[in-house]
Amino acid sequence: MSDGRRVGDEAFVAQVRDVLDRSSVSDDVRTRLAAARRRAVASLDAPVLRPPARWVPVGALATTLLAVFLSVAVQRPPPLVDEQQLATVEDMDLLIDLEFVAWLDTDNVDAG
Amino acid sequence: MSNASALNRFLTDVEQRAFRMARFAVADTDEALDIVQDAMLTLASKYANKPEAEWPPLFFRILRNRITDFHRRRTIQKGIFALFGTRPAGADDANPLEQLSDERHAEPDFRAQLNVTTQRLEAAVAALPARQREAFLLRVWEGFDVAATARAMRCSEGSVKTHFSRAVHALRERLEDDWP
Repeated sequence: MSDGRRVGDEAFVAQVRDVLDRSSVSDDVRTRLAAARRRAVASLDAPVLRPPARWVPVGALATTLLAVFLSVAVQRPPPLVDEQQLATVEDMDLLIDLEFVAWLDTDNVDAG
Repeated sequence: MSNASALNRFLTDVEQRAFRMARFAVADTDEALDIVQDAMLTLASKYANKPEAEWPPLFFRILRNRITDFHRRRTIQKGIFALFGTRPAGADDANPLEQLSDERHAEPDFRAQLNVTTQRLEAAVAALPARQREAFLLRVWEGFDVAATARAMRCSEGSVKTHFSRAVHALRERLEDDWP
């Protein structure tokens, strides 16, 4: 670049800077900018709301799964034999004999 | 508290230039104000504890990112509306210079404050490619050196020199009638 051109560029840039500096924004814009600035400065004193840590969603999922597991475990299926009735059976041999007779009645009669 | 007063002082110094830069880039006063406010809040919330000397390039980098986000959203919006064969409200494929001129007709306060020379300069600056405009305004208006401009624009110093030089030549060509 020639010296004359560079000097011309520098003068041009200085002239542009001067024009830009002299131009201004409207009162409305100035007011709104001041309000935005005040909000930004005030935010320095506001409590910092940290985003949830990475482990929080994982922990929430694990807690949910544990709660589901426990709720299923607590709701046990109804017993095949009435527990009350089972508790009143005094002679377990009698119960076994009844089961044996039932088995004979179903399969082994034909086989014999 | 000294941090707050220092931040207030810094933002007071840059806010109008930042607004004008944003407005050059998005050609909309409300959008430009939103962008500047967002940049201010981001600087305050994330970088206020940085040394004050680092605030200027940081602030203008944030501002630039917000402007880029704006254009990205606008591009996506246009794409979606084009997909459905409609146009978003305010969408216009007209020449940006004409668009800028039209907007100023709608803003008498803005227009009244600018003389013809300033209007022509602003229109010419607004018509520069984005990277050239950023380099030019940061160097000329903010007074950043090449290194600080490169940090704000996240590019090499060589790129800053190239963008700045092209911007100066483009502006001189466009304004040769007004700037002997």
